[in-house]
Amino acid sequence: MSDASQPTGPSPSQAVNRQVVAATTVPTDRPLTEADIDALMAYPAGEPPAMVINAIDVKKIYRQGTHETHALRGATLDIFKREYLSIMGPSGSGKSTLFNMIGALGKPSEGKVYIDQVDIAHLDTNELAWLRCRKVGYIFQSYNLIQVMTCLENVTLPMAFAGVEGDAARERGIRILKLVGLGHRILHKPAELSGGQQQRVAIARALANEPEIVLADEPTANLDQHTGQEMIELLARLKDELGVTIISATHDLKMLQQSDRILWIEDGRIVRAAKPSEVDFSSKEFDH
Amino acid sequence: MAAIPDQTKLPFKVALDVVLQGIRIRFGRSVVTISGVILGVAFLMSILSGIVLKEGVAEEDELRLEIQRMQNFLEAETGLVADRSFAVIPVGPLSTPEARFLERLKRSQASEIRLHDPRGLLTPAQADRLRTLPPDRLMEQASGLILMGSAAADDLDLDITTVMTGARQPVIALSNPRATPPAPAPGVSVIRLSRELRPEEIRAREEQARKDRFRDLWIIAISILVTVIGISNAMLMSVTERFREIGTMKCLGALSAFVRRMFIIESAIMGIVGGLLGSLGGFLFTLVAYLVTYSPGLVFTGLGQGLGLLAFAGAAAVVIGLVLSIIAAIYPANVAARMLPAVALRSNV
Repeated sequence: MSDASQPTGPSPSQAVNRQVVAATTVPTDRPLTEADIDALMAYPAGEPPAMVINAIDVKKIYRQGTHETHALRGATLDIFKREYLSIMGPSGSGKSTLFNMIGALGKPSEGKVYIDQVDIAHLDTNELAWLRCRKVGYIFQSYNLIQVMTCLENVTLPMAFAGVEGDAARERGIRILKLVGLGHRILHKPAELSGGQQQRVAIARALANEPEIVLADEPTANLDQHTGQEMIELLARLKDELGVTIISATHDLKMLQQSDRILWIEDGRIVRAAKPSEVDFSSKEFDH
Repeated sequence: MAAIPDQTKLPFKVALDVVLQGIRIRFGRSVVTISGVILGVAFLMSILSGIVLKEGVAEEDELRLEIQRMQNFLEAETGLVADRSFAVIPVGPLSTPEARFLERLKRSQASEIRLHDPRGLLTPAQADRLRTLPPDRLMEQASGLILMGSAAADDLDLDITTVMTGARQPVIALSNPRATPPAPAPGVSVIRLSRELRPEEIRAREEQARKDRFRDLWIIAISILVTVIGISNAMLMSVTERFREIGTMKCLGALSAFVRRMFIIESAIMGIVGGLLGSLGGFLFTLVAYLVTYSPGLVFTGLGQGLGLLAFAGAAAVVIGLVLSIIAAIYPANVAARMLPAVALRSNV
C-alpha cells in the first residue's frame, strides 16, 4: 500500500464543470468490456464518461461531546455508470462512512456528494428518502431482512414505499425473486432460509425499485466460500443484465477479482485505485 | 441539478397493514408488550373497582346493621319476635331501612304480622302476606305496634287506647328516627327503634370519610403512576429492540412520518386491547377477592349499587390505558423516526 497515488477523482473545480457535461461514452446496450473500463480509467484525459456518483473532497466529522472523530478527511472519487467498484479498507478506515455518504444514508460535514448529479447536501430527509427508495439498493452483511415478513413481502416493501402496491408489486416481486433464483421460496420467512438464500432475498429487495446503484456492504462476509462465489456470480450477472452500478465494500478475493476497479481507503482518505489486472492478489495484503 | 420529488406519502391503510401483520407474526412479543399494558391497567382498575365495591359493601353492611339494631331494640322491649304477633301502621312512606326491616319481620318466625293501612302507603309487594285488620282488632294478643314512616302518628286520627285494646304487651315502636310520637296514653310505652347519632359520632364519621377519600385519591394517583411506568417500559422496549428494522426500512425509503405513524398505530392497538383486557381482569380479580372476604350476597348487592360507577371506572381505565400507551410511544417513536438509517442499522439492541 506504499503505492499512495493521488485519488483518481478530479479536483473540485473540474468536478463542478463536469456537472454541465452530460455526454457519455459508455455503451448502454451491452456489458462493459475491458476496453471500456480502460477508457473510463483514462479519464480525465479523454472525453468525460457518464458518472453516477461524484464525491468531491468529502469530510465527515462525528462529534461526541467535545470529542471529534474525523471519519473522512477529504475523499474524492467518481463512480461510473455500470461499473463494478470494490472498496477495501481496514475497519475504522472510514469505509463505512464513505459508503453511507455515497448511499445517501448520511450527509457529509464538508465537501459534496452528487448522486446522479444531485447534491445530497441540499436534500431534506424527505427527498433523501425518495433517493434511497428509487436510486439506491442496499445489501447488508447480515442481510437485514425483516424477519416477520415473507420473502415476497420483503421485496415488495420498498415498492410500497415508492407507491407501487397490489398486483403490480406482487408481479414485479415474483419476477425479481425468480431472477435471483428464489422463485420457489417466495412465501417463506427469512428464518426458514439458508444464509445464501437470505442474501439472495436481500439482493432481490435491493433491486425492487430498479435502482441505478446497488450498494453492498461485505455481502459475502457471512457466507461460506461456495455460497459467496454464487453471490458474486449473481451480482455480476445482474450488473450485466440490468445495467446497474455495483459498489461493494469487501475483502473477498473473488469479489475483488470480479470487479472493474478497486479503491483502497485508509485513515479517511482514498490512497490507491487500481484495476484487478494491476493488482498482485498473491501478496501478503490479501492473506486472511 | 435534477429536481427530486417528495417521497410518496403512504396512506394510513399501508401503515395499519404493516402494523397488524407485525403484531400477528410477532405474536409472542406482542403478547409480552400487551401484558405490560394489561398489568398496568388491571392494577388501576382493581384499585378503582375495589373503591367502588368497598363503598357499596360498606353501605349494605351499614344497612344490615341498622336493621339488626331495629330488631334488637324491639326485642329488648317485647322479647324475641318468634311466635309473637305484631301490628304495623304506616304513617308515612317507608324509608329503605324500614322497608328492609318489614321484610325481615315477615321472614322472621313471628306468628303473624297485621296491617292497618288507611292511606294505602304500602306497595302491594310490601303488603303481601300481611293480615289486614280493622283498628279495634289490630292488637288482639299482639306484642307490639310498629308505626312506620316519618309523619306524625296523630295525623291518622287513631285513638291509641282503642287500638291498644286487647294487646298482650302495650308497646308502640317508632321505626323512623324522624317520626313524631303519638300523644301519651296510660299504660302504653313508646320506644324508638332507631338510634340518634351523637354529634361527636357524626363528626368522627365525617372525619373518617374525609380520610378515606384522601387515601383513595392517593392510591389512585399511585396506581396511575404504576400504570404509566409499566406501559412506558413496554412501549420503549418494543421500539428500541426494533431499531435495526427501522434502519432497514429507512434505507428502503421509509419516511420518518411513516415510521412514527407505524409505532403510534401499534401502541394504540396495544393500548386498546390491553386496556380492555386489563380493566376486565382487574375488575374480576377484585370481585373474586371481595367474594372470598365478604358474603356473596353482600358483595353482589354492593355491586348492584355501584354498577354505574364501575362502568365509568372501566371506561376510564381503558381510556387511560390507550392514552398512556400512545403518549409512552411518542418519545421512542420520535427517536426511531429521527434516527439516521446508518445509525439505526449499527445499533445492536
